[in-house]
Amino acid sequence: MQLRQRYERILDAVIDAAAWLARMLLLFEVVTITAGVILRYTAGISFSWLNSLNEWTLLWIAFLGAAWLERGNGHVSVDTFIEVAGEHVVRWAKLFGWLLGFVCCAILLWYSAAVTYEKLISGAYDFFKIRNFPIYPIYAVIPFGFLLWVLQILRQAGRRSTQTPPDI
Amino acid sequence: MEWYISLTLVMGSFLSLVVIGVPIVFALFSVTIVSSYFLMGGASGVELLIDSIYNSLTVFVLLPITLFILMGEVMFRSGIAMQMIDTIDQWMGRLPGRMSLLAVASGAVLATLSGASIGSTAMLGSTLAPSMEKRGYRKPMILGPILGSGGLAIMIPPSGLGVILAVLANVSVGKLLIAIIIPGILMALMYSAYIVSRCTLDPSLAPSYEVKRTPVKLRLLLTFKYVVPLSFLIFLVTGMIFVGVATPTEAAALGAAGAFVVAFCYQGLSRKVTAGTLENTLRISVMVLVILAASQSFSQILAFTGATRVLVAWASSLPVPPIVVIIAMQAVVFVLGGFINGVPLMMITLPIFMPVVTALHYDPIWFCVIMLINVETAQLTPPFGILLFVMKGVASPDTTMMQIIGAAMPFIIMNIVAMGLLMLFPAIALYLPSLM
Repeated sequence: MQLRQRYERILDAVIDAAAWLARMLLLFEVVTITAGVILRYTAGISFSWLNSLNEWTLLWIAFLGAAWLERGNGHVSVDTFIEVAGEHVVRWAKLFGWLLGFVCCAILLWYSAAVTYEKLISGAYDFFKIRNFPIYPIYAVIPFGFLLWVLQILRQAGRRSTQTPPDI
Repeated sequence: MEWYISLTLVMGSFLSLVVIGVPIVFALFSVTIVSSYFLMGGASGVELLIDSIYNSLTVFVLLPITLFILMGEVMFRSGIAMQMIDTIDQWMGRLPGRMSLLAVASGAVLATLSGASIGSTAMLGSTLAPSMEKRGYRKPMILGPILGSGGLAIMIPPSGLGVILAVLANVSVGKLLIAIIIPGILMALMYSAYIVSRCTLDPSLAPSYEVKRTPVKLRLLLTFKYVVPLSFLIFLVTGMIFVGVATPTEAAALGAAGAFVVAFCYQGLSRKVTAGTLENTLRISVMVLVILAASQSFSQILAFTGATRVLVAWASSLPVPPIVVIIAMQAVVFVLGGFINGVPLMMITLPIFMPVVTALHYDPIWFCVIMLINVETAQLTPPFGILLFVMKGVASPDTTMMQIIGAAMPFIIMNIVAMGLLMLFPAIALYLPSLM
């Protein structure tokens, strides 16, 4: 029991840290893009690499925040049809949703880790962004995000949470 | 495999998973994983899916989504939006349906500060609806104007859904944001005209009441204090894009930075407000971005089935005027919109529709504006329009779903009329972009 509690505490801390980093990236977008515009028109300086960094932030924000959003039952779903079928069906549907989510995230964790490793070995970079900057650290957030997501789904399914995800 | 079998399998399995309540992101991922595996060469197909996740999200034109959400959150949470509504209230005079008109005016002004219709509707519903009930307004004049004007957030820049639509449809984000300005204003005017005429014909819908008179000097002072500075934000976003000084992404960042500055000047930027703003922005941004992560591969799979190619050829050779095809496409969106809203609705339809629009030689921007009105209408359309549920959540407990749906109907009809006007007079949408 103590081991499980410790595991949950560590998982929560990692998810919270990832979400905090994602929040900082939101502010980073505002500050750097605004500064970029101001510098362009005042000092005539332009940093094209800042655009690339900001493009990468979107990928990072999505995967740093995915498990955090899962923890808050925030991933959007259409519950209106299934709720008509009664509580018993809703529970099974939710379990099925978790199972499907677990399988998807596990498959994508495996393949994204393989692709990231391949980028590391080949020294690949994104031709359209910052040239000669290795792309694997950017890709690394994908397997990291899926790993946290898988662990969070496992925990949620284990608890058999009674909360329903938000409807759209 | 025949294209229609592949298309039915891909769309059928996605819709089935959505209907049984599977989160949309998992429905999309599972369909794209299986389709990539079987249609694109086994494991290497799934590896391509990872690259397409990267390519879907690392796009500069997607950045306004997070930035517009952040801007709207700052305005709502710092209390500035509320002060602005109070100031507009001072100017409403004794017009028939005064508070319903206030809802429309506030919805239109809020729309210039926020691109989220749920936030606008919830705010207008929770603040104006209780006062309207207290003054004897009947449900259609309380619920309808709030629902309609809450949806205007999508139709007046900054518009989060507008950015997503432009990215999914592969059209210029800046041009689309500018193109929706006149249609958005037109819709606000149509709503106002409807309210005034209905309240004039049937004054019991919105009984007149004694309005506390505020001296003009004080009204002007409040306007300069709470409304005029906000035009600075409107200029930062819409003005910068229009004059070509900044890209939509840069304008969105300037708008978000400006919102922080304005909130700070109004002393509305506490630690708690900032934390709440960032948290909610992250929540909505991640929700949208993880769905968009699968968007490119989903479109690729639809193209890979051959369905897009066949449907384009079929639509181009139909013995009917091309506008009938456009109307039919909008009808499909309208019907689907009763069941699926927002991003998923656009993701399902746009990959098939846009090649048809191009093949029929229509302006994609014009089509996207009509589509955006339809997406907005989908939020009001029963049985599952999201704004209907938002309204149910914030309205008084005695409000029934049927009353909400009944109140939304005139506004749904007005939106359809707006779409019709755009089809008859494309210049309504295309005039401003032509000046850029």
